Amino acid sequence: MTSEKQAARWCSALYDAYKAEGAHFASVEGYQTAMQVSGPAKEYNAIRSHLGITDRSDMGKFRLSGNGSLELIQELVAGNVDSLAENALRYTLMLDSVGRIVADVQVYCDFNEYIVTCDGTLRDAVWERLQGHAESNVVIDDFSERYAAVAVEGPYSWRILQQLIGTEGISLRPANFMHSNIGETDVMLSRFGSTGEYGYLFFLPRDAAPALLRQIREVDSEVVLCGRKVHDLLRLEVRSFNFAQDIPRGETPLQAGLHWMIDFRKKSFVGRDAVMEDKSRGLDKKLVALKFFEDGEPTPLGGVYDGPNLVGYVANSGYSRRIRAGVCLAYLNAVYAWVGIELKADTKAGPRRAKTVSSPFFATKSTKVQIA
Amino acid sequence: MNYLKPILSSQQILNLLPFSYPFLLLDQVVELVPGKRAVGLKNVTYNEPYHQGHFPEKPIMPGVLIVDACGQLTAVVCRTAGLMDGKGNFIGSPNPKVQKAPIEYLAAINRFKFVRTVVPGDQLVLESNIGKKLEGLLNATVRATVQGSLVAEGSLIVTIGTVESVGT
Amino acid sequence: MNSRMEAVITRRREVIGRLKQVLIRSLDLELEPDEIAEDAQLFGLGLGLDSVDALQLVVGIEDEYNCCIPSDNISIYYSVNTLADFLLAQRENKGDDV
Repeated sequence: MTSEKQAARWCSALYDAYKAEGAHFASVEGYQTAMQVSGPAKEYNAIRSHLGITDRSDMGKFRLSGNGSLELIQELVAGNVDSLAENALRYTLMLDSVGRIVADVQVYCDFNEYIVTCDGTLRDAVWERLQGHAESNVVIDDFSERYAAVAVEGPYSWRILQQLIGTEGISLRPANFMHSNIGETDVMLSRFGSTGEYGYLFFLPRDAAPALLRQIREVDSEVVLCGRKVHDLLRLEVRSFNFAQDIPRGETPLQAGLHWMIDFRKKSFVGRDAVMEDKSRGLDKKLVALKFFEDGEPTPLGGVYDGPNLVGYVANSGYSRRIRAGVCLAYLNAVYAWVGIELKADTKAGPRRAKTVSSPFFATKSTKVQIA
Repeated sequence: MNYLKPILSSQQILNLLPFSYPFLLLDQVVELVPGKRAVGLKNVTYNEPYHQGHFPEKPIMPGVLIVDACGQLTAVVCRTAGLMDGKGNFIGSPNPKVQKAPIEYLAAINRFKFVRTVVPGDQLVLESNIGKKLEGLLNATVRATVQGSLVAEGSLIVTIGTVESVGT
Repeated sequence: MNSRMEAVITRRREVIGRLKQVLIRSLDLELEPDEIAEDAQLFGLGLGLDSVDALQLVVGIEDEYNCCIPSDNISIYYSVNTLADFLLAQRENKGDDV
């Protein structure tokens, strides 16, 4: 990445507000990203019990317009966006020609145009693919820098919408989005999250982000600012796909259990042949959730054993605050990849007993809270 | 089977359901287990306006209206639950608010078969059996017969009260 | 693998296989069993089913297994795996063949 790019995307419009709260930043792909703000326990409890705000302004955001936009996206992603209803979004994958995951993306159908968003770390990869495959009539506008993205997540996150947007905000269904305005600022509001709690994303012009944060805090003075780090655990607990953690060794989408992101009936997309072959060959290993009986956090890329035999390895791991147990997602040999058996996995203190379980690991509070 | 005295007359049905002319497709209820099942009657007459167009040379009751008639009978079963006994008497005092209960909308029509045509002069005997309930929705198996012969059957999913999305 | 583990896996595999068939049949899904991940969310972001589908699925499962699935605990319906967890627990309680 050139130094101009680095300088250009140095930080979010919320950098100052976060810095004032004592946030710790790290440079992620040249972007100053708030990793932790209010402390791990406070941030976790906020998102799991009440509501937390996470700055996602580094997200890649692309608008595609012109003849051929739909065809371009259809070719590049594994899911189907042709039958996407207006105001709906599709969460799917971009694969390479041999079926490996390049990025997980959200595709929005916005009248005649399409919006593609992705995690900030994948912005360059997605841009390259869009540019590389585009025909001359397709206009690709990278508005990642011009727009901020603010995530509002938690069992009561919808209250912010109720106050700032009104009744049409809280009637927004999952994986849907809408255009609205807060005062004079146009916002695009998307109901999409990865924590298993109610989650909404506000997309708005960069300069309006600090005002939005102030307005949210006026609605609820107890909202907690959250960094990026807590989200690894939040996502692991509900088995929300986390590219960086779930795919340590180039595993395929089917091995990772991402079938639902793929339209197997779609006739053509990059990587289709590899996916269909993977499916017909039968999977040799599958990503399965494990929960530990005894104390201990599983070691990333540690082994999983049946007696003395190595039967798999740990990919994504952590300690769940909610169920107070070590948890992980591990790739197990297909014969072992079933819920309900007891194995052992490496921890810092040596191999410990763990059981294969269904994931998410628990039902989140949002499943028991009714909107309004 | 001869039904001599109805459990619910057309007037009582009008008071119970949110439907009225020109869309009340149920004339009488002749058997009732509130909340569980019911049998109702609808007389099919040439005088109904749709017969002129469906079809000009050959009047046939449209299948979708048979489905809706079954749906209306299902609404009767839902609305009488806990409110009426099997003889059509309100338990406790008559409840005039029942007509303002949330309207039961058709959410799904499943595996419906139309076996024979229904023509003016036929008396549709409709039957609705309530099945599974889940999250503000209810499944009912329904059938329609004329003189004992099956003319249509299938199942319906109907909303009862508010429906919250299941996904987060 | 010891024989007890093998038995658990065999039982699980059978329940999952049968459940996927019921799912596909009850909802007329254009999917094959190996195109459905066991932990995929059935509603919302995963398979994208809605509450009407949920009811149709429950009716399908109750017909197939001749059992009753409680309506008040929606976490049972989260995925094929959670449905299997419930059916297998029922089977253990009743000693029936699932």
